[in-house]
Amino acid sequence: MNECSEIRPLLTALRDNELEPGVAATIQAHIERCSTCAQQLLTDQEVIARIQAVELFSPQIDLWPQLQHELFETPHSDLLKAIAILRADLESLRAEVAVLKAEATKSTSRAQLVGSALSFSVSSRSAMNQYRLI
Amino acid sequence: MDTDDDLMARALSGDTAAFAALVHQHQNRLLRFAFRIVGDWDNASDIVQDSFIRLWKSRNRYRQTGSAQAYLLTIVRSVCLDNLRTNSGLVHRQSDNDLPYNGVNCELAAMAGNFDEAVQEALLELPQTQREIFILSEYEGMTYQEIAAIVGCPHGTVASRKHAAIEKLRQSLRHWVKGETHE
Repeated sequence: MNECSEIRPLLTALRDNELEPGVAATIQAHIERCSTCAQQLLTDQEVIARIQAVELFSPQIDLWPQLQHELFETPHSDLLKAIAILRADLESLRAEVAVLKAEATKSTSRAQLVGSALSFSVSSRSAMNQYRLI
Repeated sequence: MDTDDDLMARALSGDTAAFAALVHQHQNRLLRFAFRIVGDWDNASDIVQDSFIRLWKSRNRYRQTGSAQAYLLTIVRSVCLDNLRTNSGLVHRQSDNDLPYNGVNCELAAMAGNFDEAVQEALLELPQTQREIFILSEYEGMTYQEIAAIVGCPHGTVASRKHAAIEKLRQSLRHWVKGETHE
């Protein structure tokens, strides 16, 4: 196996600064005297530089609304929301019923008062009549 | 301002505002990473979304071993692999999603003189094990050690796969790098 075939697989790691300092120094020394390996390193650098220069036009996507829906607005939470709305409606109905009851109670009292007054008036008149008869 | 690691820690303790900030901060980068692996924006979008769902649902099992960025890439990579397996291991391209990859597209793009397309085709022609290492190294700026942790292979394997990837890319893109440019 010649030196070049051992060196070439390490050129990428050399470019990425991923070699032990001693190994890197050995490869650098080889590159200085081997134009073929030096050329390969340059070519690799050019390939990578050109690949990195390509801009990727990614679509503008905001994943958060969908994630929020998936994770935090499950059918269970929909059900809880519906229950909360029904509870609020129920409370409002209770309040209305209380008002109506109060009004009904007032009306009943008034009716009773009128009734009592009428009954008093009738009994007074009857007493008067009885008195006149006497 | 919160660092990624702070945001991750807060998100994983159940802080939804921190989780939202983490999503907004990383979604575009992760989307590009997933696209480069699977070659299709719709798939990439689903993959990144599934990854965040996995992250949230398994937040109680999270153990901080590396950076937040590395952890997110590990999850997205894993979902990408599931996606590729589900699609019978075929890499899909944005332009013709229903056709299996036949390896001649880079040549066609080269003949058409479109370097940007040729690069994407050349990346998709790489074996998945080489492609992910090249992308993590060159686009995500990860060290070999970080890549080894994400991919789950030894440091030396990262080095050899990266080298093999560059060999193939040099071959695929030779029209542009040896004075034979079509531009």
